Amino acid sequence: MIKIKGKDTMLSKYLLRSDSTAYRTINGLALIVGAPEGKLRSLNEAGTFIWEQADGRHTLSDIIDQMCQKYDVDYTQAAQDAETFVHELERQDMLVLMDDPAGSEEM
Amino acid sequence: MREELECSIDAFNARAVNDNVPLSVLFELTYRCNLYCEHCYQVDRGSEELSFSEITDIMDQLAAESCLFLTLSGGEVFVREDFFDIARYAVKRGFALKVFSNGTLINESVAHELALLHPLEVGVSIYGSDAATHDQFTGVPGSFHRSVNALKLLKHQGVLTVVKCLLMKENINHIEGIKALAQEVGAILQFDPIVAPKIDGNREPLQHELSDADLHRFFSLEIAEPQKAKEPNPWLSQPIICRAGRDLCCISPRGDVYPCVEFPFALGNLRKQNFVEIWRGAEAERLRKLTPSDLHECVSCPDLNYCTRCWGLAFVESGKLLGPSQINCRIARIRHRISVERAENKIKMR
Repeated sequence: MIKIKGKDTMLSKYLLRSDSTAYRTINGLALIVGAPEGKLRSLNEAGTFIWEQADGRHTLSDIIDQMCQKYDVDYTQAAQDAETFVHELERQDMLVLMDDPAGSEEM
Repeated sequence: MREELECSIDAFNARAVNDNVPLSVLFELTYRCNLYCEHCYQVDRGSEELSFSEITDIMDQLAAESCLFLTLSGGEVFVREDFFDIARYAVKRGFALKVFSNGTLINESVAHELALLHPLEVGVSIYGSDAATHDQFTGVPGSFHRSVNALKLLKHQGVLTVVKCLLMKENINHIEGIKALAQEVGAILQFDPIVAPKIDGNREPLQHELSDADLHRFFSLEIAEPQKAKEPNPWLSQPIICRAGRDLCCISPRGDVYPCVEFPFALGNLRKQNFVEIWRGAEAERLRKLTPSDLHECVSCPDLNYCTRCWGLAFVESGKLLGPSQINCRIARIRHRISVERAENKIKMR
């Protein structure tokens, strides 16, 4: 995907699972728990895909591209769902959105 | 739209129970404790406690079996000099961490170090609303102030804290005081009205247990009976007796695997077998095959629907897997009576 420099949307952000969050994927579905209040979220297959890709090295747009290939879904619809989902996880401090990939400050 | 990327947590939990995924494990790191509580159910069952490398190896096995919630408990966990090495390893392996402690060894730097691990909660035992009562239970002067200070230090570090209070005949009048204390230190409050025998069946702790009148008083309180628990619980129709040994278990300081912390039915030992062999072994499967309809002494009980029978308590009290538990029978009878009294009061008020 070609990134448009200066475009500051959620799609261009790198996603990183928060340090205060733990999870397990069981039979392809993730259960996430966030400290300190123990907030739980149980994800379906597509939600789990986004979550597992949130390693600080992929932008949301990259992840949606991969989702569209994997699940044969429309980009616009997938992007809308994913942005709402990511926004909610960010609001609950489960995901961190970054302008640069994780570890890039050390380079 | 978001819902399309999520599914029900209840459904997830039901699958964990159905597939016997050990989602929650309580890991007792030591029997050693710096307090001397008469009512404690724990018994030092001897032999050398698991080493750091044995513990990390077990954690690797638990992570591979999808355990998510790991509670580190004791004894008193902070008497282990390698506690933070263990806790840090747990976080590195992706567990959601809880810690149970008496709080007396938590100073400012310990609280800070704990906070860095982002625990889900730290539970601290409190047995009274004043030092005289609490310290009488623990046998250690000054323990109340140290435990309360730990709650304050942890709260200051942003850690979610839980005041865990075992209710006994000597502190039943402290309920309001302990509620105020929990509020003051910003902690969640959990009362437990059941004094259990020691894990080896020794009934000595029961000298502290609540009378029927005290239990009636406690179960009449809103804090004991949230709205949803006021309705009868038709658990006979449930497919399983208990989640113990299905999606939760306990590991002792010497590596014994139990279905639950108060259910000393040894499923196997991690120094002799690996976790999967034990978890899928004959003893665990034997437990899982039992259903509520196998509880022959319970099925015709008039208080059945008010019962919160604990499999472990029944086993510790009588040595029988399928027998009733005396304390649960008393509580079921009392909850049933309260329900009838409430219904009668409603009729009178009309």
